[in-house]
Amino acid sequence: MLCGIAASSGVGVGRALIYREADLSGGDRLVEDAAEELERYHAAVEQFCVRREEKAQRVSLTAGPQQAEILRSQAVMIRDPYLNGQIEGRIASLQCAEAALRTVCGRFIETFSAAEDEVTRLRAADVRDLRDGMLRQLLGLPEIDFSDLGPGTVLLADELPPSAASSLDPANVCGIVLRTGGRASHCAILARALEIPAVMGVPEVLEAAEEGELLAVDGSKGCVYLGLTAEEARGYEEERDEFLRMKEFLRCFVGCETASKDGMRVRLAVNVSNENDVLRAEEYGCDGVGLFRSEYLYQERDALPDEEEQFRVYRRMALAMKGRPLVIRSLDVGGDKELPCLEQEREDNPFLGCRGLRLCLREEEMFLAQLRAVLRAGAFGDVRLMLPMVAGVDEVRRVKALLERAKAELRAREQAFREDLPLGVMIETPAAALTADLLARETDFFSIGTNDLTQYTMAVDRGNSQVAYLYSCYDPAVLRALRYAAECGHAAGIPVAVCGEAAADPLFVPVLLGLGIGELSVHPAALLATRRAVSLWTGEEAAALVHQAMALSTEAEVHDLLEREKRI
Amino acid sequence: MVSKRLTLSNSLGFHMRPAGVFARAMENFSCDVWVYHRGVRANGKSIMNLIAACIKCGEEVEVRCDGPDEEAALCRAVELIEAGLGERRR
Repeated sequence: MLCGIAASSGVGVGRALIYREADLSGGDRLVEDAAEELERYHAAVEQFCVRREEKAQRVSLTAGPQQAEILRSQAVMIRDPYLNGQIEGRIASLQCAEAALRTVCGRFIETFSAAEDEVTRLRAADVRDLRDGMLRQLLGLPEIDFSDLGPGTVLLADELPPSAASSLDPANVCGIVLRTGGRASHCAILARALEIPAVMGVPEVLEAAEEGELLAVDGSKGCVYLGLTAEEARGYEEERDEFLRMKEFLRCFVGCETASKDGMRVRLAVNVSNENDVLRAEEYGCDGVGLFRSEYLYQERDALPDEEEQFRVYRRMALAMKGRPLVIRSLDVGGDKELPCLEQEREDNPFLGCRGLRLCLREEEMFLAQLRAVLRAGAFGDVRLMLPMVAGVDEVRRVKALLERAKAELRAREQAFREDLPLGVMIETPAAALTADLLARETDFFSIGTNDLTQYTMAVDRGNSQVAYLYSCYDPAVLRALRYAAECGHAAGIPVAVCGEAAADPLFVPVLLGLGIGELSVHPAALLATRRAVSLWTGEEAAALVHQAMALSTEAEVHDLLEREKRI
Repeated sequence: MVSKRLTLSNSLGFHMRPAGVFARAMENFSCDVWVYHRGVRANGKSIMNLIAACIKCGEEVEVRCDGPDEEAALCRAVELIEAGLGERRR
């Protein structure tokens, strides 16, 4: 078994097809007639652009316009006057087109790869793809085309360039394993769009696998099983069928209300990082956005986003929610998530340092701009503000004072805003959980961030393999923190939501129901499974389960109980 | 030849999109357009060249135009850069 990065979920079973990049190094020769060689080069450019456009149109239908844009940008690059001028100059001095192309593209690849920012570095892959596509034209080699691979093919490769990946047909390719890449690579995004199971970042795959052998790809777990016997393959086929059956079965939860078995309504909201996530969530249906991570507006840029830019994004999302709530979490970064547009000191303990709300309170002007943008967006929908990393009432009061300042500024400008903007806090530090009774008096809602709450309650870094075993929301300590926060929220009559990964854990959903949590907020892909998990329990059954769980002394005991009581 | 020194104010510097905005606008002029940055000269009509120059926000560049419509070209170049190349200004 080989392990890698789970890049696109599902199970695929089929025969290995090892794709190796063709040798594109040939074709060097002496040129006698520069004009003739130039003509040959220009013809290749024309052909290249025609082919890219054909592919772009095809891929636009299967995987969406963004993938098509990647291919079109290559046509823009090859027609670029400078790049073209460099190549033509070399051909004019009797270099052959292939060599000229290699040298000139090579320089750009080198420059782009060395760039400080990631956006430019990613362009290097495009130049490489463009160079190889042009070389194929010139050398009379066919374009890489996976569209006529036989059914039941598992594609193994070093990497798949954007132009090649765009010809993948999910009817034939049932799995992809790459030596390189990760969840954010072009190819991973494409595989998910086409729903082909994929595992990436498997360094030894090309040496370990044999052409034509039976293998299985588990893109949910990130595993590749090589050299299967027919019988073993059938086992994985069953797993695949089970995955597909489940996926198909979950379709019947699309657009439904979320309710427990005895008809108690539970609000099911979605966690989003950008506007695309909202579109995905809308396919499955949700009761609003329970967590909008505003960080993406601040990332990968040199300057802070101003009020106007933020306002426009928040307003678009508020309008898209059509009256359902949009909970915007104020900027949540810190020593571990650095922003190039903000000066942050190096800290010895970034997780215990100036992060989340603490940073916003330090950077008052930046925070005020965000508050004004959120307030203004509130005039266009049910916008709410949520504060991360709160450690006590004092911080909430400071935010309230800043909100008043922001409102005064907007009034002076005569701009519309939401006067009664609901203000909520995330319960994710033990301090917030222990003072939940006090916080509940000062705020309009709670949202429990189970990831950080678990980390801080257990005092454990989940990334540290020596202690990661301690990281579990099933731990009695975390359960108690959750229960206290929920009880305080209910006593004060404010809504209590859960927005961490625990909200999407089918084992844990009944516990949350039993604690009286009224809203679960999960990532878009987990909406349907969570809706189903909720529907399997009555309120009474869930409360009984919590009662049992609270009587247990260790994480393992709680885990066992939840496994035993699991409903499928 | 006419020229002007100015500071890049769009948030990301000469990236794919801003470089595209600039290069496409400059293509409409028949004069040569050069963007000098840290002693390196980039063709102002080339997206690739402008990206490769890695010019970042807040850095100073010199735009030189040379040819029959150089005045109009420089005027347009300055206008574009000062307006943040289709992006938000710092």
